[in-house]
Amino acid sequence: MVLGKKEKVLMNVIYKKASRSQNGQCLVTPLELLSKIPYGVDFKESDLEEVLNQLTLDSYFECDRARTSSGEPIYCITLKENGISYLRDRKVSRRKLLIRVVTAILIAILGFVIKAILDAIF
Amino acid sequence: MIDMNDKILTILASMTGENENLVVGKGEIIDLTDGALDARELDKRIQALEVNDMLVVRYSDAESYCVALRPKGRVRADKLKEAEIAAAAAAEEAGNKVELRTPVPTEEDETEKTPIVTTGVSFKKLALVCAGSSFLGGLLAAIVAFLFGRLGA
Repeated sequence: MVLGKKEKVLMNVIYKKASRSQNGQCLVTPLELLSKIPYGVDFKESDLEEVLNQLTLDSYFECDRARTSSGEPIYCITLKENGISYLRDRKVSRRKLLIRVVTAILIAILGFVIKAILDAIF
Repeated sequence: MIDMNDKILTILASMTGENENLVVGKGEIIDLTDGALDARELDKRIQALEVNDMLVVRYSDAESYCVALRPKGRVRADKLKEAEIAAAAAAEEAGNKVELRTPVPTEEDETEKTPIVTTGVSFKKLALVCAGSSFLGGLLAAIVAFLFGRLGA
């Protein structure tokens, strides 16, 4: 599944946090999530709910809105199948991309060699 | 006597609203049960409540739970709360009745109960006694004088 930049960044943060527990669950406050997003990424506070919903719809995780006894909002996140395999999927997609680039380079080199051979013959 | 599971349920119901998830520390619940449980016992009780469909545990770790009350749990907690209020009202009423039967004596009551001991002479009574006895004495003397007069005549 192809994720946007904001989704990818948020998913990285959530995966790091949730994958520490045995059952892929974590409790995280909105503030904690926002603080872990790199400054270089244009991620606003208002984007958080939207991106969380998108990732939930893509079955990366289940997100339950809760509040603490002091009234502070908190997310209870449980990784789902796509979320659990997120790291592996990312590695696989990177490998595929690398293979495609290498194949493209090899084909270009081969094409150049064939052209050079043909030029030498004719 | 309220069951411990019910007590935990009422504690959670008081903390959470309708269709709301609550993140609460285990220590917080233990404190509210006056330390009657340890964390292990609390885990068992929460699990029992979940099995009985009173609540759902969305998350749990060594320190906290994320729970949501099921409709069954909410109804049960409301009933327990009503029963508790009714019991408190009944206890209060019974206390009043007992108070009516055996009132605690106040200082005023003490003074009212104590008989007034009069040490002096009642002049009113004395005057009445004197008037009565002088009238009777005079009457007696008049009768004697009348009788002597008749006998003498």
